[in-house]
Amino acid sequence: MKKIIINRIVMLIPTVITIAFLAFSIMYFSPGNPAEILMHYRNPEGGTDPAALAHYEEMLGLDDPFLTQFQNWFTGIVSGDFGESFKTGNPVAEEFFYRIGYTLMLSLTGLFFSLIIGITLGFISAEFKDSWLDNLLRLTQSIKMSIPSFWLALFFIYIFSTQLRWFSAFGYNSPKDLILPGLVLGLSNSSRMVRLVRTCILEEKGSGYVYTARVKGLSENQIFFRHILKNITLPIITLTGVSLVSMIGGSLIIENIFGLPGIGTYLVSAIMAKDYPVSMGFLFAYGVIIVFINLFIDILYQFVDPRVRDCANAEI
Amino acid sequence: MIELVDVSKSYRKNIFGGQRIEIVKDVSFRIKAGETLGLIGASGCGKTTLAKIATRLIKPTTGQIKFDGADITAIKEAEMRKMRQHVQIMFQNPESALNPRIKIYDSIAEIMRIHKIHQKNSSEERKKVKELIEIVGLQEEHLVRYPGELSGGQVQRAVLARVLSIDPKFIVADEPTSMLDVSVQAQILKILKTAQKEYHFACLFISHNIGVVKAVSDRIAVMNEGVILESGVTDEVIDSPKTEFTKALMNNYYSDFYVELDEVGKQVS
Repeated sequence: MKKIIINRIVMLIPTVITIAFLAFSIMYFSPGNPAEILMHYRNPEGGTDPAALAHYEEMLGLDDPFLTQFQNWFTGIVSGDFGESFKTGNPVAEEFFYRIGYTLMLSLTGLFFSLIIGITLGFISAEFKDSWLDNLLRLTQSIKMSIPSFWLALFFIYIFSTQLRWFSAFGYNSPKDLILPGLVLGLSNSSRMVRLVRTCILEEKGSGYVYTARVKGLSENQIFFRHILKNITLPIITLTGVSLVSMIGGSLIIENIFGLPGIGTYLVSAIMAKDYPVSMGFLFAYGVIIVFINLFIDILYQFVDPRVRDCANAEI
Repeated sequence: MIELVDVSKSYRKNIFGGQRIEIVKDVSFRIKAGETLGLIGASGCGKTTLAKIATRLIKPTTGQIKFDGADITAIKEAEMRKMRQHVQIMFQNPESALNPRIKIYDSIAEIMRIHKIHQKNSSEERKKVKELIEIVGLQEEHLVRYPGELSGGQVQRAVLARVLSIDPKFIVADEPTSMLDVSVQAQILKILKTAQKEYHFACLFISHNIGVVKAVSDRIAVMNEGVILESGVTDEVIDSPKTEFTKALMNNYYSDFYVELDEVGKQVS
């Protein structure tokens, strides 16, 4: 067990380096000269003085070969120095830690809604298999799956903010403001959960041990809570991990629509403003968060399912 | 002990109704305490459906199931759950027979807890489980493992321990050994026979393998396409089959037997 966890953590190192390399390359090869942009931010009225530009280029080390530049940036990251924002001059790391809280809160709210909706509807769907209710639920899931989240967000703002005036449409003042964006995130991610829960329950219901439990004289409720639930937790955990990842990704759009001060909003505005250090740093951080969530889920498996424990042991 | 009277089971072909497919047609038999009826037939002839009907896991479309003289065809689920301690079933596939997430000990003991025979984790319960695993030939170390960590034969032994734990009056064994290799098969059958002498239960033993059925059954019934073609004392049916189907089945069995022998040396077409 320890061996597996250590193994996974060691495997993180090449992954993280790759993420850093990609984040850096994307910004490096994108058109535009960082020195010009920095110069413009520092001195908006300054025009384009070649001597000053050369000075800024030297300061940013733009004359160095690509790999040297990457190395400089990466060693900075490893020691916690992500550089400073061109636009504001604030350290990137500081901005990041200030904003990550909002993004995580939003994603977790979304995950909460997605799990509640997914498990409840999935259970109902499986319980009333092939009834009109099940068919209706399945149809709505398919429709819901094809609705883009930004459309759903605008639709919800129209209904709940503009018409009913229950929630504010923009900005963050209290945790209540996370409900609407969280619901949008959760809803657009719940379809897969509903389907998964339904399929899993039905699959388990047909397996031998459920018949065995019935022969033992357990009631259907006992069979569900003592036997089936234990067996469907693993796929649910898997999908929860995947959902959390896609929600952190999806939060990028939702944060922008609802004007939440998370990392998504900041990253988008940084890209728009060609704020190189912020863009690279946030891209990298996004990647690392996702890698860590996956690691966490992998480790969680070990505790939940004895079979995975053994398979993994056998592999090593 | 257990009696089936003109039991039939049919399903609608599709959701719009239409034709009904009959899986089991007018099957009747009776098994006395301490007796084994072997049910033999090809795959897909309705044996497993019949097994599920006999244990009332599914209800028959028509016909009656009588247990100890009482009609249990239509009794309520709650009452049926109480009956469960007298009627048990073993399934074919050992891999899915036990919940993969529950340790062997709890899988065996759960049934005693449900029927309130012993308190959970009491010393009586532990003693009983130990007795049972000794009968079926498992070691104590197997109890703390999960089904996935045991071989198919060991799981079937654990299933047998579970079946015997509540001293049932009627056991359905639905191809309990067809997924096991020959030596393990023989051991399981032997345990089943020995246990039957001690516990005196009625047994419906289902298999497509004539050799296996012959070894355990007092009487056998031959089933094809949902109908029981003939039944009688084991040796009589095997030695002088009355229907063409039974004859073909016997011939197949013996030719299979020779093919197996040939495979050791050279396969003869």
